Amino acid sequence: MKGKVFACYTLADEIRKVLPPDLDLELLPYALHLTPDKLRKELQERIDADMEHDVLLFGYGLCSYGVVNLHSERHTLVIPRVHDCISLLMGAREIYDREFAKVPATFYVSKGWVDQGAEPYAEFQRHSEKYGQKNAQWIIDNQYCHYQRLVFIDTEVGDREHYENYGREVAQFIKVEFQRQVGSLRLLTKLVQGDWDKEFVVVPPGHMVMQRQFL
Amino acid sequence: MSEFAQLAQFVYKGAAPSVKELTQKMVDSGTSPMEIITNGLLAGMDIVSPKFKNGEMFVPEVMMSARALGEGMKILKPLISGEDVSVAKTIVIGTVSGDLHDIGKNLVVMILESGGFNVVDLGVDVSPAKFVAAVKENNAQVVGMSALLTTTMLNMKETIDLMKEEGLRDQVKIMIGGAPVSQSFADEIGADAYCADAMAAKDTAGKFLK
Repeated sequence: MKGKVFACYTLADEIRKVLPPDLDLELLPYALHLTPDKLRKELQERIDADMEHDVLLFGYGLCSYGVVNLHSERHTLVIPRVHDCISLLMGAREIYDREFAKVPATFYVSKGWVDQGAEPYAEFQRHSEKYGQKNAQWIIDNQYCHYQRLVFIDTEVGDREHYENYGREVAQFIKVEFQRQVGSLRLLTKLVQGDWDKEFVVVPPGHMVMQRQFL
Repeated sequence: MSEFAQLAQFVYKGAAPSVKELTQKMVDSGTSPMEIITNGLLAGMDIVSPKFKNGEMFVPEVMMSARALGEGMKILKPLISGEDVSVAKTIVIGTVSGDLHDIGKNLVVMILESGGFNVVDLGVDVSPAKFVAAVKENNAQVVGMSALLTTTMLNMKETIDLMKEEGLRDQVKIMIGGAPVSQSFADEIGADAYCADAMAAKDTAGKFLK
């Protein structure tokens, strides 16, 4: 059985760390979930074009429904049963749910999130260029006014000290508490090692990924 | 360009000071407040909505349009109260439990107010119990719920279920909105309407409160 992983660039370092040599990997651009139809189209095109593998694994979750309706006549599709990459970075949906119950008002970052500029300070800089600094500050203040903490998920990739310090600065910028949380590659490891239990949506050839499988 | 069209352009461009100035000028020259709202401010949002949907406008720009709309409403709201607002028509609105996103919800509140409705905004992270209490307290006829996350949207169902338990379900019409929800989700959880955007929310509320 030959397999390949399609993953969001946000998880690049984490996936590479656990990827066995016999699995192929293709990384897709960051933040496609912002336009879920586009994410779905990009993934489906890759599924349709692939003739070399039997199993396709996804470094994605439900991701704003970006994976819903994916289908293949020839491949088994395997997707972690999570809403998004925060659970993947924490190692389990349960851990995310627990954290969420504790403080829903949390903004999460990881190396991948910082690298792609998907955090308030990078947004502020982009908005400043486009709309001027005063408007940018107003936009950020309004978008993040309800947040209470920023958590850096440390998955032990890259220059950890740098990312932790950066996270601390971003937390200061939006005036929230900073915390570092130990991440885990447990779920991604299970994905690439074929340990597909209840924590995964496994879709056989000829079937379709359904939204309700994730809820 | 007519003053109405000019005002609509200012809203679309997010030019808050210009909206404020022109709205005041129109009020001073005797233009009816409801006409300014409908043909000026809301006409501006009518430009924004489709542009946001097809990706020509982004969230920050919509926020700035909303801010501009708000500047106009600040002037007009006191002038329409009593004349067009019926206190009997109350809408209770909020973002559901666990969800903190309120940019879209705030815009809906503003647009509903511009339609002359009395809106009780419960804010974000509103528990089912809080919704129920607010419906009772305000004798509301419409409940609006927003969610931006697939993890929180099921709390809409929790809220509807609690309203049933409390015997309130027949008293209120429930409308829902937010990126992850859809008409089919509305049907599934037993909501009365799905609103794709703020203008749709106003139209729907209008039908419910006729």
